[in-house]
Amino acid sequence: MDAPDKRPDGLNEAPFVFPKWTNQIPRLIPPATVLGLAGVVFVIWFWFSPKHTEVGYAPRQPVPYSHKLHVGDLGLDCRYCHTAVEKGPHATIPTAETCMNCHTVVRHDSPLLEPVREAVRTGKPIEWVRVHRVADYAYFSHAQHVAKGVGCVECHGRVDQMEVVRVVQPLSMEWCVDCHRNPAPALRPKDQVTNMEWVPEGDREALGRELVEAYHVNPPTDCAGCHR
Amino acid sequence: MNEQKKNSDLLPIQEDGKTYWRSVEEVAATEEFQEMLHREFPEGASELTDPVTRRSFLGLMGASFALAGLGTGCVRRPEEKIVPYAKRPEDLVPGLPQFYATTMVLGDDVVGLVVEAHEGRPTKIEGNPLHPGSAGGTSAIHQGAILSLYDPDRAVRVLHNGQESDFPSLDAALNERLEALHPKGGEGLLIIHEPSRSPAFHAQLEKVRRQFPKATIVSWDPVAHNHVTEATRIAFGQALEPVYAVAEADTIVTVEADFLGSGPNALRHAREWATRRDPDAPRGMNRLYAFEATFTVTGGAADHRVRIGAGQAGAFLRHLAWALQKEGVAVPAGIAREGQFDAKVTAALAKELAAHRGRSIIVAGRNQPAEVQAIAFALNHALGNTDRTVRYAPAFHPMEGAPDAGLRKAIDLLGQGKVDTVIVLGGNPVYDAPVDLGFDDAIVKAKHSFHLTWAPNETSARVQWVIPETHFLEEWGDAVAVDGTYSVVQPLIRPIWHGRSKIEVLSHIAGRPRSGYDIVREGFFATRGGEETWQRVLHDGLLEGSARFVAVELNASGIVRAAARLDRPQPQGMTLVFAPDAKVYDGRFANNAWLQEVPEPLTKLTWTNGALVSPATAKRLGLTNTQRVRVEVEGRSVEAGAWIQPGLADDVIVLALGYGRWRAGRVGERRGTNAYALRTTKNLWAAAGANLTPMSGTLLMATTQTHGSMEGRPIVREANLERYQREPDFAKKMVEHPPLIPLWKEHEQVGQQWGMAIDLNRCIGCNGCMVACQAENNIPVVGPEEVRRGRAMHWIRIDRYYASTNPADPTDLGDPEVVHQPVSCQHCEHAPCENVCPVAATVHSQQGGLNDMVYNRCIGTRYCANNCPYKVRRFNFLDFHQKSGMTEVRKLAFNPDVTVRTRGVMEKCTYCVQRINAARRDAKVAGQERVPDGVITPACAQACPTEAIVFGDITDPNSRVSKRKKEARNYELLGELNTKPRTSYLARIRNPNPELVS
Repeated sequence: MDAPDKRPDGLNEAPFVFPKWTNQIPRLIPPATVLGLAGVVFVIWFWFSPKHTEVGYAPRQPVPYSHKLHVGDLGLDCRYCHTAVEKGPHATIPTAETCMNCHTVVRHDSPLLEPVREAVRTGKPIEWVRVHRVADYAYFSHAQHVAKGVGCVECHGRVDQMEVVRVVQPLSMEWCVDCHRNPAPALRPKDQVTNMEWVPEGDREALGRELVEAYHVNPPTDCAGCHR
Repeated sequence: MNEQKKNSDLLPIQEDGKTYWRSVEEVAATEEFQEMLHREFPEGASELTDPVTRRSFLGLMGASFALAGLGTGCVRRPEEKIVPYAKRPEDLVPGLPQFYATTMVLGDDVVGLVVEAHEGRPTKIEGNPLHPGSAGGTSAIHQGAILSLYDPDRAVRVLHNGQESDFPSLDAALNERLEALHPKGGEGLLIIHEPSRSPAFHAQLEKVRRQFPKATIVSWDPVAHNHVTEATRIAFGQALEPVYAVAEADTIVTVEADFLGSGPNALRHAREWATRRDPDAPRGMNRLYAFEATFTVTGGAADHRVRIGAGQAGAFLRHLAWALQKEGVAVPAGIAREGQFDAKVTAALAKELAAHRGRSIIVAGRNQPAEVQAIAFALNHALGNTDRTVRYAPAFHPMEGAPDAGLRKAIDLLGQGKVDTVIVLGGNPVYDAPVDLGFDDAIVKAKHSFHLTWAPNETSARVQWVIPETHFLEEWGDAVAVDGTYSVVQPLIRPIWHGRSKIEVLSHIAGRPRSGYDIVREGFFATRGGEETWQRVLHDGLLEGSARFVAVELNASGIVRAAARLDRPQPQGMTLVFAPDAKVYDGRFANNAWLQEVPEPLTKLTWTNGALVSPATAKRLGLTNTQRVRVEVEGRSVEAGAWIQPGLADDVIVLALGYGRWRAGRVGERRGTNAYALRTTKNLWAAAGANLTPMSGTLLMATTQTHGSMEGRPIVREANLERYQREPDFAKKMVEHPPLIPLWKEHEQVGQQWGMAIDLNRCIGCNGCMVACQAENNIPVVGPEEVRRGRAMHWIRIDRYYASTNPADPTDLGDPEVVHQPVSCQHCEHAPCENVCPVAATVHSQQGGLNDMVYNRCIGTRYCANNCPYKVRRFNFLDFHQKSGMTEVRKLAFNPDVTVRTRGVMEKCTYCVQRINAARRDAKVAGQERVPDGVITPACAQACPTEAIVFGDITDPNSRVSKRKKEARNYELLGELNTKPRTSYLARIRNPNPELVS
């Protein structure tokens, strides 16, 4: 075996040779690209979707009001506080006066209720943090949905079991439109709208179809149904 | 010849031989016009050319990016707050509007309104159907008034010598003066107020008089100070107001009177006039003759419009009296005199009037000399119209003496240095007083001066104390209409800037400051009724049955003496005529951008006034549109832009009042020409011996009349009654086309389907619908430069066509007929816009069958606008809301039910889908399957004083809209394109006197 030729510049090390495994790289590029793109799509699809960004949102409120206590344990009807739910677009957050209807007597000196008492005293309302939100360009009306037998629980979940209210549905356009295309599964008799524990007797789909007929349920799927 | 040819290719020559023109440029077929026609949006329309604009726009962009970063960068989403009422007002459901009745007074015109408020902020004004001055309709000015409430240039605080001050200091200063003047019985106290139709105001004024018996109290208003009561004093010996029962009249003659378009009860006149425009009605159509030198809205609606020279109204009425006398009508001897007027027309008219005794009306303009109006009253009396079509109500606190008498007295006192304290209650005399009085110099001679005003103006700049006044939507008040109907002014919102109303300030001067509510309520209880009535008045807005009429007796000899006073030699040369503006009125709405931008009904000028001249006069003087001219009269002169107005009398220059303000706010300053600079006590309404000198150069005058032409197709269709009776479906036959085969599948239709019918026979082109739409749908204003570029954003426009009445020459616009046509999105079932949108941002709805516009999808390709044959789509090129200076207060005027669109988004008429959805919601909540007919009224239809626009369910054969669409004269605009528009038009039917049809 001959010794390697001496190079005139004196650099006699062997030339760098890529290791053999590097030959795999070009072959891996296409699947890696595909995987990478799929990953990006997945990240956006999952983490950017309302299913992730909206569901589970449970902000702290200025007064630690417990729906579980008031609705679940004490059995208050939703409409005692959310008075406009059958009349207008907003269900409305109760006025501080509404709270004081009971709390002048019940736990009237609780420090947790100080913001409520202050609101009544000063007339400066409590600033609650919005939990459920649809986009500004989507015009939603509670009254219409309640009038057609859509239960509170369909969109807001088992509020009666929530210590802190959190979002349980994505409130996305896809989610809205799914129901507008096929409203039957979300319907219940009108007198059960605020009943958190209602379970249908028999087949819910069949009942829903009956109610679609009975209540003339015909939700729009046109753009202008909600956007205008 | 070649030019002529080009025209006839382009324009409709219809069966009647009429050719329709939109503008004089079109007649001349200038190259610019051709260019304008052929581009959807004019050249450069999509570019930011104004460097300042670009910079501020980039600034805005930067700010919004910064906010975006804050919002989404580190948290999941911005935290939003819900702030409930601590104590919710009674009957208020958040998210649902509330409606309250109130009243708007403009000069002599008292109009009952119903105002919509969202959570305590008024957003939209509608007419009160119960009020006789409105009958449900509103004018552009009423619609625009809501924007003035939120005007950022309003008087927001007390000013003392231009410095910020406060109410306690003001009260101290005012009280000090009052205490000093009281021992002298008020000598040296001068109060200048606007004439008022409020009983509460006059009650307070009386208290001031009692407190300060030697005070001088005068009134001034540049428009409402007219000659009506003076005329009734001549004719009947008492101060009265004529009230016309237009619906009862078969023949209506107006002489220099715009009784459909302006002045008291104009809305009611229009409504009643329109009820008699149905060619199939058993009572038949009415017939309207307009004799005028200017061109008014009424003239445009007339069946016969006859030009008479300026200042000829009196001579014409005497001529008419002469013709009536020949027909055997007993007119007071001595007023009849033959004149130089078209004998054929007057003979036919006299014959018709004589045949319709007790069923006709002759109206002379309120600004005409008292003698002229008195003759009109006498002719009505002779025709037996009194107590039938013309009734007289007692005048409400009539003015004594000449219109300028009070102001003259005030200026004398000021000039002699006898005025210690002057208090100006509202108004703007420094700007609008007759120029020869020199009010501007006189007012500063008062030792102490106060001005109560809702917007600092020219007068405020000349006084020491400026007191913020409440807008009428912020104050308590009352008003008496010309027929005596009592109505209340009810606040919709607490004074935003803590202003005071006139009656509150008067009560302060009288020594006992009280709230407006107490004053009005007390006045009501003292004279009109108890608690129950009061509650009903608050609800209805008016006291039912409070109209009152009196019997009259004609003073024939007085009228003859008055007629003799009209025997004056006809002045030579040109005559300058002043007219209150259809938009800014006397100038008080100059800072209202909606009213500035809406095109004037006939000239279609926006943001300015022009020196209007007839085509023949323009030719004689060698004038072209927008050319700079100098208007001179009695040695005073102003510069103006010339504007050729077809149909004007020759040798007349018309200059609208209310422009050229120099202290009006950011919108209204230095727009157009100040006509007041030429207006003197002698020539309040017309100045003879005027001169018009052409100058070099042109002025920037923005007009919409060249926008969106539809190129030579029969767009407006009309016929005479005679032809209609012969061939009722003439309109449908005007276009021949092969059978229409749809290219696409029909859309599926679910539930009620909406449609609209617009009756061209009723439309008078008053602009009510345009501003109503702007208010309802949060439509931005774009400014004069942008209007010139064709970027105006109005969702509904009113196309105005001129047609020559000269059969020999269709380009002769000396004496044209006018047709108005409101055009908004036609909601085609085969919409050309929908097919070309690459992102499905404009799509068809199943429920309702509307052509929906989805702003969030729109990427601004503007393909849809290009493909729309009706040119009704509007593109927001530059974020015009921001560009026009959005302030926090201005934002309160937005309708929360409609998205505020931003830059780069196409928008157009939605048929007020927010109102449709609200009605559907209410129907659903009430358990109704269908929305009953008449519940949904789009903003344009609701404002329309003549009910020209009707909206409803076209699947219901009994709905009003279906009934209209079944009429023979129903036609679809460009129906031959098979777009299947949901909006259709009813052809206009003219009802000319058969004797005058050649």
